[in-house]
Amino acid sequence: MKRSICIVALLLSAVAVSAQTRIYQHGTVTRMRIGRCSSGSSLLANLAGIPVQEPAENCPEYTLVSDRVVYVVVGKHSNHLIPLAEDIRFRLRKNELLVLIDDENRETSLSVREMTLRSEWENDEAQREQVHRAHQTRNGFIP
Amino acid sequence: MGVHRFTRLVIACAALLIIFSSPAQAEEKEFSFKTTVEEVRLTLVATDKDNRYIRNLSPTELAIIDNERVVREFRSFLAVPEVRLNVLIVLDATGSVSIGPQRDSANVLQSIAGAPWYPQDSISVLTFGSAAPQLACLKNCPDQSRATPVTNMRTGGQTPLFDVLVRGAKYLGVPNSGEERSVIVLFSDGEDNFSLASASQVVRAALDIDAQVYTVNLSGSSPEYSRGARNLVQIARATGGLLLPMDNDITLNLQTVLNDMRSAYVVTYVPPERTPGRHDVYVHPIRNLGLRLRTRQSYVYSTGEDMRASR
Repeated sequence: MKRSICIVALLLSAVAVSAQTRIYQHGTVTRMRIGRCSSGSSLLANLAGIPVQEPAENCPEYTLVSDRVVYVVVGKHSNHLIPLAEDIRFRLRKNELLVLIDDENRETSLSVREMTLRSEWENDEAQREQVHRAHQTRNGFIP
Repeated sequence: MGVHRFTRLVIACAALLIIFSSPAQAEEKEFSFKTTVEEVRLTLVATDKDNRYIRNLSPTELAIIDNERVVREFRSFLAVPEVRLNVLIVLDATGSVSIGPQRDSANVLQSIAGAPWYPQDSISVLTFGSAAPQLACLKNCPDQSRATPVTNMRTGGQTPLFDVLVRGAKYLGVPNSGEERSVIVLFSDGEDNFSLASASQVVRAALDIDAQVYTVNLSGSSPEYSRGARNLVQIARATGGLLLPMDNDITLNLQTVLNDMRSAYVVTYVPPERTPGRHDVYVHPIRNLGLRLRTRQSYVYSTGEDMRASR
């Protein structure tokens, strides 16, 4: 009897621990720019044709490259920064990306603006780079 | 027969000499190459959330965003507390403006001289108002032949603030070495009603000589309500300087500027892309998001040997 109670208690504690444990993915921020803040408009509002006011504020926009997917995420206000370490940990929740801030032991959530498969993104980048180099060579910037 | 043999021997020796000496010469030529180092040099200031300077910043604590690309590897990273400053102090003495209680020019110069300068610093003071601008050399000034375009300006009793600043930057010139930094300290209300140049051209002129501009707002108006104050903010931010309120004493303002300049770091890196023209730059913390990092907002990239001049 005692043994079964112990086993049940152990199982329950394991379930509780796993619920608290968050599984993070790893990625690197390769680009950052100051762009428009997320307007916060919902898909339904867009479909219904409800006009959305453009945000006046500018927000940081990051390109986060993970193993398989490349995310473009936007901060929620002008000072919404995320760490730019080579390796950052993040997880997805609905249409948000939660980045772990190690130093402060908390997460910060950013809106996901775009998601692309990494292979496609790398192809696009290579093509863009080729066009850029051709342009520079034509203009004599690269010998 | 013997003579022929001797001639052949001489020819063979000569040929050997040519064969073995030529590559050596060619090798020497090959090794006398010239390199063009293409790197960007940024001066940055780090503070904490409470605006206290951080004196022990490590390069692993920051990343630079250059035209949207993240740079984490730097060529060099140095604190530069002892650097020689090449300073131009610009005093706007037009009717609408007063520089604290020391309105008498001799007192103003005395206050400026009383700031904690280093012996090697160069300090020039440019005053402009209803008459032609006047340039006073306090110590170690740049070549005075460069002063003529500044002092020959016609102001027409108006306020050509931007023109004065553009010419002032040319007077300071590009720093002679990495051991020297240029700085312009402007005391003004930021209003301009007579210039051919714009505030953006002032920024460009300052960036061309790698100078930070600190602006001291004499009007006391907020940038939200005053065009002049907005000009002062724009010029200071774009060049990595600060907008300061007027203190009771010019010396205190200059002390703030000197503290800021001497808490700075100089970082150099290879630009991630060689696109000629303007590159936007930000400095971003790597881990500690409480870090406040300030530098100029852009630089102009030129190819080859022009790079140094347009850093």
